[in-house]
Amino acid sequence: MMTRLDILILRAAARLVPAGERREWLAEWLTELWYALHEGRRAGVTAFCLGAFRDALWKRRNAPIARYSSLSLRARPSVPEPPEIRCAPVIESPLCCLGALGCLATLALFLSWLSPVSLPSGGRLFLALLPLSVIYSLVLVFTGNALPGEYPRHRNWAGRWSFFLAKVTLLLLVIALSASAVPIAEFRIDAALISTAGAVRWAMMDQRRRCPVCLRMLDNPVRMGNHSRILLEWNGTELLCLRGHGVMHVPERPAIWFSRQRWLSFVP
Amino acid sequence: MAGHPGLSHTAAMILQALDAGCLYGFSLMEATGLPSGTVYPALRRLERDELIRSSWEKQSIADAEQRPPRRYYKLTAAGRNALTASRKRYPLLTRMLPERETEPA
Repeated sequence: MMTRLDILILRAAARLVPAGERREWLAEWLTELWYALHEGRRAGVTAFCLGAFRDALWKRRNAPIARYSSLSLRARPSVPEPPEIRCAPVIESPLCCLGALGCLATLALFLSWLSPVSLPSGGRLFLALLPLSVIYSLVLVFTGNALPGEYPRHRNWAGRWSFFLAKVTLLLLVIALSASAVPIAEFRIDAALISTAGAVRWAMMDQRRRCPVCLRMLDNPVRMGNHSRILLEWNGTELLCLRGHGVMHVPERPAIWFSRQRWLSFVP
Repeated sequence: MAGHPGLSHTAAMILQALDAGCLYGFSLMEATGLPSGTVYPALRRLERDELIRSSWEKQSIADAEQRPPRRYYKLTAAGRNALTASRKRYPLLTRMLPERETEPA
């Protein structure tokens, strides 16, 4: 006879299994428990049931939702999916991104206009931060923290670079104007230097998360591969351009043969 | 999936036990000596990688024998290839587990 404890353990573990697979999963474990008991293994039955937790956790971690969102070109199931409720970030499109940064720059200009401090002026600080931002960018690239991706066969390099330069310029304007409004002189330069490092890094990371064709944010991230098989197959994250321009493969850890993120273009 | 050179020893043992005729979870545990928390997740993984496939026994067969229906696992062609490769990698595998038994109906 199955004891109440054994069944309780299996039912508790079943709560971890995704709802769609729970019934079959529990049926298999109850069947296996029946055989465990009828084949004279009463002593280790509780340990047997506790193993269900590991199995349930595996099921949970590998739930089909991950495979689902893998932008497969497979046919969709006949069951209609509920509408996805997702808030797109304000900076999703390049124009909105530049618009948001422009608003911030206007606000910073207003703050600096209100501030009684005039030296160092925002303009001079901006000019001083320009070469610094180039140095920061180079440091980030050469230390491998924000390597640019590989974008074969696409011609939008001018658009990408223009967008990147516009972002950095607006960010530096925000920083310079905000810093010039800081009343304590000792903090002004320090705040500007630290903020510039953060801003350049953000601009580069943001650039990496965008489609190189339409410059919109990539979406539907899907983790792929197995970390322990790094020598055999790639592992990392796959991101999709929702306008169908392509897929970005971002390696989880850089390998010799796959050090930078790669763009797979769907557009001929 | 293309090729499974990285099959773990546990996975290889389970494939070998399946080939030897242990066709459901509990019998695989008995044959390999592995705990349930290892065998079942390994079976899921192998099934996901299409090295094995599973099917439920017909209710009528189980009813006739007055027992619940079992979920049977079976090697696929890819699984058989992976097992052949694993036997070269783990030569003791065939000695550790018994010879093939009869297949279920």
